[in-house]
Amino acid sequence: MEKKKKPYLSIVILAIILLSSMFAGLLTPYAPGEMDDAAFALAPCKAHIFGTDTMGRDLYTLVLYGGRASLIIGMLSALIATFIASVYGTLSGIAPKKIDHLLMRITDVLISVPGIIMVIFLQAICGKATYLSLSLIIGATGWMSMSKVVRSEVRRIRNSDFILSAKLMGGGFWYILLRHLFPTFFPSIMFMAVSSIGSAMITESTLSFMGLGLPLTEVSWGSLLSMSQNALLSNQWWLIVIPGLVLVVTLVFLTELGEYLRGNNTRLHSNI
Amino acid sequence: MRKQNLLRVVALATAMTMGLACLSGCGKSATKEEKKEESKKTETENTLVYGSGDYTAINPALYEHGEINSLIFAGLVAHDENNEIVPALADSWDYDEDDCEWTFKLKEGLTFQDGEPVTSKDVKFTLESIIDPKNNSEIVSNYQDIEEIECEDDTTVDIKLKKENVAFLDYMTIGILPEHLLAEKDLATDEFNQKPIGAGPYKLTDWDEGQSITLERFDDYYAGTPKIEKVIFKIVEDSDARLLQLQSGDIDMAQLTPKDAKAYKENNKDGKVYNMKTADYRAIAYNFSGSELFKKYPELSNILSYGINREAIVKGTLLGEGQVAYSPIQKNKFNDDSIEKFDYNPDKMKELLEKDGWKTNALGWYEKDGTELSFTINAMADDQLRVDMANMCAEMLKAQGVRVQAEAKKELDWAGQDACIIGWGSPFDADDHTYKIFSSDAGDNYTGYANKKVDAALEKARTTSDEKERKDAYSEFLNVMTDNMPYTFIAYIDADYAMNGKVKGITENTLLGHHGVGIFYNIADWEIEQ
Repeated sequence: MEKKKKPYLSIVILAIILLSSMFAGLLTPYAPGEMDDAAFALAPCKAHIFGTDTMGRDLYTLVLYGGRASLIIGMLSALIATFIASVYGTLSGIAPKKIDHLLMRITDVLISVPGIIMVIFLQAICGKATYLSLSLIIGATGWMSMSKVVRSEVRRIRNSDFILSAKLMGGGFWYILLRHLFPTFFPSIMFMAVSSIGSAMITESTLSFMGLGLPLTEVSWGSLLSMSQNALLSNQWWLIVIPGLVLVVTLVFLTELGEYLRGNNTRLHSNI
Repeated sequence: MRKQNLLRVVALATAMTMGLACLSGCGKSATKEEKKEESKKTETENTLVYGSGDYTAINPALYEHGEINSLIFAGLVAHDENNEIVPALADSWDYDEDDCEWTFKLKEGLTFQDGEPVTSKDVKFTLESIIDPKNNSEIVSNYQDIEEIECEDDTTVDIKLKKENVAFLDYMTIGILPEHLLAEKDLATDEFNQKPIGAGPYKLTDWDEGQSITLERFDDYYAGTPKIEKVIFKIVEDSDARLLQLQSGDIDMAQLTPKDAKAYKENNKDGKVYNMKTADYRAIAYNFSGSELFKKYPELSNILSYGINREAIVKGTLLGEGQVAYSPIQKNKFNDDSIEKFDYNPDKMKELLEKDGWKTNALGWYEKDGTELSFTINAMADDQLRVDMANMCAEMLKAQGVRVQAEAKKELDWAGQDACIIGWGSPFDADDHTYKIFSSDAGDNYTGYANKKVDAALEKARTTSDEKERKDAYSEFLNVMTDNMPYTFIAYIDADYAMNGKVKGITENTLLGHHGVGIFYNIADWEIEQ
């Protein structure tokens, strides 16, 4: 199999986006909520390179700070999903056949429920949305297909000598999972983990768009997009195009990165 | 609201696909359908389609909000273009000052829309229903002074008050309910609320729940048959959707947000947008009874009032279509413009906070005795203006070290929340929307505001008929109110009514009420130009 070229462009762009969100304070002269009452809904210009919104806030600043919420929620929920998938998949993989079947049927049932409905449902129960609650909910609804991959990998290697010897020497579940299984199956779910960052960001945006996301005063790319809904009929194109473009660019390069990881980690190249 | 939008889009898409399937499936019947459509059109040319908010129950005695009451129901008296009182179902009235007794004489030969006569008994029934505590009416505070109602004969009714109430005549605009349909029934749950019958200019003929309410003119209306044959209240809650439907011709008239009104003006040369003044204000209401913070530190309402840049809010959210607010009766003749207006002054706010013992903590927020100055301003999610206002207020206060969050809520938790964006305001007597809101424990005092001096001043203003004394009483009310502000007043918002060029008869200078209600007061005189 031909090795894919390293996606330098994606890495560089994603790094720029990540760093600029992290150091948002240094990159913009405005505070995140600062309202300029002389500049309502201003098109992009020198002082406000992305323009301002209808409340007179600088859109460039909002995009930078909004990235924080979106990226934190995206990465945290990917982490949570990966964790749940690893544990659940391993459990299923090393369990006797009947239990394994049962566990996998449960994931089938969960997969069959549309994710967004589960997210909305859980968020409604949770009440107040915070970074953590959103990440937990999005993570807890997005691990199913990943756990299937984990399970089949674990089933494939669970009778390997090194696992057996670890078991015989008294290694516990968590020890074997972390020390032996995880490093082996991680490459095969890495692309899923990376692309779940993207899908988590989309879910967060959807929630914000529906008004179920973070409080109004916490800006995310999703809430910027929901703001753009109001701009739709008033010719303020920059409020729609710019946040949308930023989100799309991030997602495209994340997918590109995930694609690369997938191509490089087929069975042929895995480490056993 | 957004969820609804999404649903609407999905529904629209499904409907379109189904429509397409039908078109290709039954091409033959299309011509027939067209003909039918055409004949329907000529038939309904004299129809006004109004993009309205949704209703679940229509009953003027119980629910105050809602434009449709004034179409279906008529009261003893009515308001004219300048919000002065004019006769309606009553021909004349008398007031006996010594006994505090009002006598109303009804017009002869009045009927309800079902043909039954309107009598003094119906008046008695309506008023008694409002003051009956088991009905939980929104407007009970306005009628609590009624002591006894007597029907001298079929057309004469005597209403005896416990004490003088100068605003009483204003409250007699309340729509009269038919006793013969409602006697002995539970007003709140009766099906009358879905099939209302009154003596107003239009009668309800069809209610497709959540879709439209169809009204036809009532030929025996006391002021003559209305000119427009049919009025349809089409339920379109979202302002953006109203704008699109106005442009496509699906509706003839609707109230829009300033942003949408501007868009309509720019794109529709034939259309007309009436920018009408209202007595409708928005404010931050602090919850003095349910919020730990404001219960303990009620003085914050005054201090925080200095931190709101109202000009910026009027400019940003209302596109300039509104006025900075400082008083709940600012548009009334009894207003006093010499009171403290809490003009935007962040330095003064900080100074007062520090004087009150608040200190900046390590994170940059104010703190006192271990309590962080932190709260949430809620706003109804389906009202974009309120959401924007909550957001702007929060940002303004945050910039000064007060940790405020804004949240859009589907429903408000009046008992538990810290603060919310509230709206009130009446274009009529100054007693309306003051007594029932700011008196301690009054029916619409949702925020636990209690101030004995305010109670006394409002009581006095209600019970003196002397103009000069009333003015003094309202001055007193406003002055003692500014010592302990119930709200942080933000702005009065104009109502933008957009319509196509054919609708005639709207009086542009009428001062409208809460939510821009009141434009339909003279619906019977409106016309659709052919």
